[in-house]
Amino acid sequence: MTIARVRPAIFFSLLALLVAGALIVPHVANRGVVFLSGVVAINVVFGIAFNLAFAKAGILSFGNAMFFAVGAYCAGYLITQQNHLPFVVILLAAAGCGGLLALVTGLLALRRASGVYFAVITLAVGALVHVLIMKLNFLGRNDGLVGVNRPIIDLGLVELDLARGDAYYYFIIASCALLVTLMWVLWSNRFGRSLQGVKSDPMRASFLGIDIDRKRLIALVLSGSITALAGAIYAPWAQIVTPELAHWSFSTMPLLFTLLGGSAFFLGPAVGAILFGLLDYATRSLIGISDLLVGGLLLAVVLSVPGGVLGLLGSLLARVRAPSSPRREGRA
Amino acid sequence: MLEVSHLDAFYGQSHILHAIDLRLAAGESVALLGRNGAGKSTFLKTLLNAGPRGSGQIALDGRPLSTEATHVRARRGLALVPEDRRIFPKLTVAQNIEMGCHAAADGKACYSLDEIIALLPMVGPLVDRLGYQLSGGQQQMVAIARGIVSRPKVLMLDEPAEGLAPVIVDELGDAINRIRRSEGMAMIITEQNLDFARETSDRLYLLDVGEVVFCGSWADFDDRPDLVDRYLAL
Repeated sequence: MTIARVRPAIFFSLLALLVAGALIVPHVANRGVVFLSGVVAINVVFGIAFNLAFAKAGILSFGNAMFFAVGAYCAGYLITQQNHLPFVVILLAAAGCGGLLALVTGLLALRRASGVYFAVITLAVGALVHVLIMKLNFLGRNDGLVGVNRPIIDLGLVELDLARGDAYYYFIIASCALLVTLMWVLWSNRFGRSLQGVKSDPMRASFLGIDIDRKRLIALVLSGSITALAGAIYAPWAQIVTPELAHWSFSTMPLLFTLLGGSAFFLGPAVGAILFGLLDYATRSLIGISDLLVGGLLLAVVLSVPGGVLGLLGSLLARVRAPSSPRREGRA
Repeated sequence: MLEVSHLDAFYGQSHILHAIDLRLAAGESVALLGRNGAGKSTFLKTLLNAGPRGSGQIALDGRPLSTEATHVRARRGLALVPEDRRIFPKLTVAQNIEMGCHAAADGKACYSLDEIIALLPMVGPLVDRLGYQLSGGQQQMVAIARGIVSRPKVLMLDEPAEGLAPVIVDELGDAINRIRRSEGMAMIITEQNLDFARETSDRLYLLDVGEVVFCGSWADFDDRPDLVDRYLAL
């Protein structure tokens, strides 16, 4: 797998297109679609954060649900029990908890294992976190945390009531766009290129003075923090946080988004998350066979298009261009 | 500057290098000669702790290196340009060169791209190309640029002329000598091309089956024509 380069102009154009599309949704769709659209935006961050570690640093984690759940529970607990805290502080606390969990997981596993062995360790740590959540009284055990209200952000002169109308939806779109931009910077800058070096040729990278263990750990911590932030944004949107968020099956979601959209592309998981959301919505009324249909369709796409939907589009575009123009350098 | 004493190296149970001693002064260039399998590349990799298991003493500017990890040795001033160049194919030439700056972690300023191009003019027109779009000679120049960008104390070149066209070998020799003269960088160059090695080094070590069988000046080497027949002829 080779990593596609993302030119700034193309990235910001596509991001603007996605944000514009998301902002239209409340004006043209019902409440259910608006809710689903908010979840898709959060899933976009969830997927890209996973792929930042996976495609760039070669870290395959089957435990990303635990970072999401830790963020969601952290925000849920602080909103329900410490509601005097500013929401920004709650978000930072959630990111810190996710980062800390990723740091512990990384210190425990990254030096000892790589590839699928590392993935199995993250699966085990994720299962442990899931069990812990279900055993802790202050996290609501099996019931989870309910009544996670949408917050009011005090900006000094103005109070932003995110509980009113679609305010929290717009907050989700804005914060997810910011997080996606932050991850694009990490993906494209010197740090991202050093991760790419670590993944493609670790020995060469260490010849060049790169501490490969440290870089991989930083990538995992960043991925964990951003995933936890996505979880923290999700909690007031759903207004409930349950242990299912930490279940191993939820960890397959970002992997699915990534494979569906194309792991070599920065926006691959975003495309995967959107397509998955559409599929999920289109099959919602087929009670009993909805999951089977979605799973079967996804399996077909992943097996028949190993580079994901963007990989397929890229090769079709290359075929169209091939007879008339010379080969272009790189991809967007 | 670089002192290597009684260096042994092993791949698993195989004993590859036997008690190698080598001294390199600041700004000096030495050639490491020997047939395929003599242990030249293994020696360079062992200096960087990059593959073989080594034992013995390695010190750079009097500070021991033997227990340090590969990236720490690189940051202390050892740079290796490996035989297969290992250019990152999906990074541009400028980004490939920038990757070498990670070795300059101790506050030393890296060369700017303009300074690199002044030392290696062949790199100039290539900066925006991707790694996979380079010829063998261009890859070699970029690999050297990436090796020197952090201003290492010792630049190690593993068979730099191998597989290159004669005209490119000439350009490469000029570039290496330009770096030696203007930057005073010490070098270890492994080679099978005797003319190239002679042109780019001050003296030589001759390796055979993991042991140093000769070390001295080129004049001393020329006085011993038997060495070529015994240790270098096919």
